[in-house]
Amino acid sequence: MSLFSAMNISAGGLTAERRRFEVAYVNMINSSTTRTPEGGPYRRKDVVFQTTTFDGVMQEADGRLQGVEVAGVVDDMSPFERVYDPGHPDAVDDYVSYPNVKASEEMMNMMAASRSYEANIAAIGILKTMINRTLDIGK
Amino acid sequence: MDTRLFPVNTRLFPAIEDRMDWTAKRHQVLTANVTNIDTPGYHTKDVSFADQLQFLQLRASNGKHITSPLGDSRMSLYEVQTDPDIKDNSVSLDREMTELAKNGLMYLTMIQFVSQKIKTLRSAINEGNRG
Repeated sequence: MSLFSAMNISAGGLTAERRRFEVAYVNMINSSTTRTPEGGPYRRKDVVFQTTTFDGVMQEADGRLQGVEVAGVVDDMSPFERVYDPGHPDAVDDYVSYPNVKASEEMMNMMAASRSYEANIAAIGILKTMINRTLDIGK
Repeated sequence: MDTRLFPVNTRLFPAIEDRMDWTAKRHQVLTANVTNIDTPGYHTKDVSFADQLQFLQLRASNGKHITSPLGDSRMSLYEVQTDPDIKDNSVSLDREMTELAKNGLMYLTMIQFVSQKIKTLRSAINEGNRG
């Protein structure tokens, strides 16, 4: 039933947006972390979204209809922030390298992710009404 | 089937069912648009009304009847021409949510039609019993 496939697409969107939110959240938490297992300060992470094909009715008619999934989490290779702090144990030549995380950027990311999440929830809500009413046919 | 068993014109049913099917499929397309709101390189998709006419398999038995300009091809997607953003994504949340609501209401309307038809049939059956 195509309504259920539509619900699966939305569910994929929910997963992807939550992943994006989590990554932004972790970035925020580590905005001052100067020590990591890999050595050096924390490097900002970013999610990459990609379209995914799914098995739906439309698939037979046209293969271009796509859902979404997280292709991977990548490192942001922009330079670290260097702060003058000679007393800091991680200071090199009086300068400490802080993560390349910007609070405003992460806040924007989290807000956008949660709005997109809500949009998917709203779509699922409409679908639920449609399916429920279909079940009421003939009552 | 002997149609005399059904005094009500049941031939309307297939058309409504086709329309419901088409609406459900369009819903799938619109949902995919909402889901891909943050996917780089994704362009808004939709199914056209002309395709819907084909889907209903309307046949012109008279020269004055409405016909589909595209013939008998199956329903297909097209990309909606809107300006893409910096990530080459052209999904507009406003458009998608509005279309989703409209499409959902259309589906519920079709359900009302079917329910009314069934109600009429049932009434005919029960009243006949009473006599």
